[in-house]
Amino acid sequence: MTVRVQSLRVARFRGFEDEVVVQLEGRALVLLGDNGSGKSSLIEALEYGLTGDIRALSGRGQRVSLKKHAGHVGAKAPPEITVVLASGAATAEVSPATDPAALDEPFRSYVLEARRQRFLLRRSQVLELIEAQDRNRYDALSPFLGVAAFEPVERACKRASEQTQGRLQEAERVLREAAATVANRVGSVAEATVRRWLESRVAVVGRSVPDSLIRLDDALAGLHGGSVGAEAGMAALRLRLQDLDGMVPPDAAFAELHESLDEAARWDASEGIRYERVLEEGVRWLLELEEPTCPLCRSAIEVRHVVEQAQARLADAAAAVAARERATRALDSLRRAVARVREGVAATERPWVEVVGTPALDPVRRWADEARAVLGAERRELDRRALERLRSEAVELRRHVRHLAGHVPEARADPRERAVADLLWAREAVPAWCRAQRAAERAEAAAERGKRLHTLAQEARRGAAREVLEATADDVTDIYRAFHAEEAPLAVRVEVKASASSSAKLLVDYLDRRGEDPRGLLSEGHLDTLGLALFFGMHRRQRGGFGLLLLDDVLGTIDATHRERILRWLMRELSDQQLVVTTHSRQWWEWMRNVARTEGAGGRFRFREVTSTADGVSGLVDMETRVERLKRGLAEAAPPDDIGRLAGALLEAELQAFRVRWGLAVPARRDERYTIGDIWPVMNRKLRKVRPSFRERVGGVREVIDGMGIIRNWTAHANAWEDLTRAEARAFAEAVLGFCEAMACPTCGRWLEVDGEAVMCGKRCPEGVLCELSGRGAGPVSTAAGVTAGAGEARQAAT
Amino acid sequence: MADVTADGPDPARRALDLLLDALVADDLLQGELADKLSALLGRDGEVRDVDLLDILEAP
Repeated sequence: MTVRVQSLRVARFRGFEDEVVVQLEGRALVLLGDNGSGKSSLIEALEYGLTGDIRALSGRGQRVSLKKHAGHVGAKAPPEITVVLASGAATAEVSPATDPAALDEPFRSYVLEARRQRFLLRRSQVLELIEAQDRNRYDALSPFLGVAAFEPVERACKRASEQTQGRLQEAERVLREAAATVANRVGSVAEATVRRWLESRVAVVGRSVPDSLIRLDDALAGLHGGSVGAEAGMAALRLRLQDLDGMVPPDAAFAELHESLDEAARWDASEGIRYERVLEEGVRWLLELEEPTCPLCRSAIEVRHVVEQAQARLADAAAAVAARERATRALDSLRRAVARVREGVAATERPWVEVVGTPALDPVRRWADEARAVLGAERRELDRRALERLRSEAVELRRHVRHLAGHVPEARADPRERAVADLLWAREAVPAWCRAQRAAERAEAAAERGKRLHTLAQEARRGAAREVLEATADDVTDIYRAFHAEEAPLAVRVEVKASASSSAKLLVDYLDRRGEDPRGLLSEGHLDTLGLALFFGMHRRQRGGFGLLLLDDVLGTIDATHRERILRWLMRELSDQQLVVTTHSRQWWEWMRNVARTEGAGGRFRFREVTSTADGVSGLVDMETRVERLKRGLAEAAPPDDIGRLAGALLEAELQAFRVRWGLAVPARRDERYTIGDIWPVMNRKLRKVRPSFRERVGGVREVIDGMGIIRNWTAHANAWEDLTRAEARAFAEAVLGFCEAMACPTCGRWLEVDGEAVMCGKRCPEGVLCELSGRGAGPVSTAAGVTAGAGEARQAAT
Repeated sequence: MADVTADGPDPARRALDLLLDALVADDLLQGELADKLSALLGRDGEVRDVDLLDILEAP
């Protein structure tokens, strides 16, 4: 069963402070309103009510948010949106907080589909589909590609890849430190050297080195420092002090940090090193480019020259990155060294007191504490003077530690005692080094697998997206050709290309050109229609049984001929969809009524106007046609002022339409806000120049309107109806209705067109028949003609 | 991931099928590893990071 939006209730939302109810009654809706009147707010209210999201707000970064900007600016309470859905006799109310699971079918499926699909198109999105960089275009198209349900899998693969990379880096760091410990003691980390070093010592204590060094602790089980008495304790203390001496960072470590900080700071101050990735992709694009001409201006691109320049910048960027990494490495290395000194002090202090009797390591501990505080700052915030002081103090500290080592009573020069001390150290350090090696190997393998898995997931998603786009290309081409039926055929395709994430290249075949960027071939208007064709093609594929499509001012930049063609296409091809269309153009809005009627879709559409006040949006006006309202006013003998106002508004709308259609040269006004006083004199002059047969047709009403002495102030027409008599108001109203009658084709009721002296209907009749004005109803129109039946009825929809 | 489109397979399902096929054919991941990854990624429901890491980091 088909689900349709029955009504929309909005309060304290975006432009609407007070409650507004829009009755759609399951029909399509065309909303008219000036900029800022609230048309888009109503569109967004539908999106918000059905999905709980407004993508234009939630997708615009940190400064714009749904939470902050969905409510009306002056409202204290949160916004309220209720969408009433209907399917047959069943109805359901939906709000942003509705849990679809709580709805009955078919409403549950409808809301779930609304949350999955993209059913709202804004004008800016049409431009984005064409003008965006390839990567952004892919992002714009991705909601239509239907691969969203795969993205959690891809993201999981990406996270796995990143985590395995992180674990590899950590494993390599642990390995470096373990290797450094071994190298300090043994002099090398070559396994053969370490094995020889161990063999020379285990022989002394009657043990053997195992095949695998990782089992050294098992091989040395039972060997304990205590077994060799106090002499070993002294030897161990001496070794601990020697270790501590080695732990205090040397001058070279500080010098490396200073030098790398200086280099990084120079690059930090340099401009233009922030777009490495863009440059990198730009170079790749240029190198891949087969056509060495600019796709926009067709001038030749000196690829090699551009690439050399870009590569020079990339080299700078790489040097900057390397300098920053070097400084970070030097800083991390010093931080780790200081941490080791702290550990070394903690491990050495007690044995020292036990052997010597009085504490002596306080200076080392104080230095380590201060060094930890100084090195804890961010790279750019480091106190360079404090660093220099730490460096000079470190020299003194090493002397101090060596001096202490000299005061430890000499152990006997017993080779066994020395060997035991070495092996007690090796029993922990060597297996730890071996384990670190194995862990790093495993981490490297896992990182490689993770990277491959992520790559395969990306390729799979791109492959599926490519298939969708290939399958949709013919549709997009057909739709575009429907919009431009009388022009040279153009074929469209979108290529998904590999990049860091993905990119979508838009290409067209036009005449003898193949695979061209459409921006190099098509006019701005054609690019707009191409964007629409792309959207409608994607939408046709994704929509399934979902029947709502919101078009927010997407036709405003397209000329009248193509706009009408698109509208007719929408009414025919999307007859199963509940359309909501907005426009700020009254003449276009009224023309849509005409098109809907001639397409036999008049009953499917509602036409409403959003009115605004200086304080904001006040609500919607029930829109009956101006002709109907004026006729009703005459029939009900409304007050003369009201009749005058209705007739004036109708005349103004009619003249606005003809200003554009007949190309009347009117003095320019800001925002094209022309009045009757601007257009009527020009129209009147034009009417004097057309063929006599038409002059006769329109002559009577023209003279009445032109001769209306009661219309004293055309420019301020809205206020010029206050002192009309009933007879004057009626005469004026009938003349305006007669004018509308005269300016419409007597056969199909559409606006007439002018070509030199000729006035005709043109090609706009449904069967493509040229409506000659010599046909039925083509005679002179009386000032009362508009109030009678006949061709005037057909004209209603057009005005 | 249900097959939701009337005129062809669900693209998300298709992407998953492409991934599973690629896993089996990949030199690095094929074999028992590919079987485990396929079983994990091919089932309905959320893919937990810890499960994926367990498979990738297995010796």
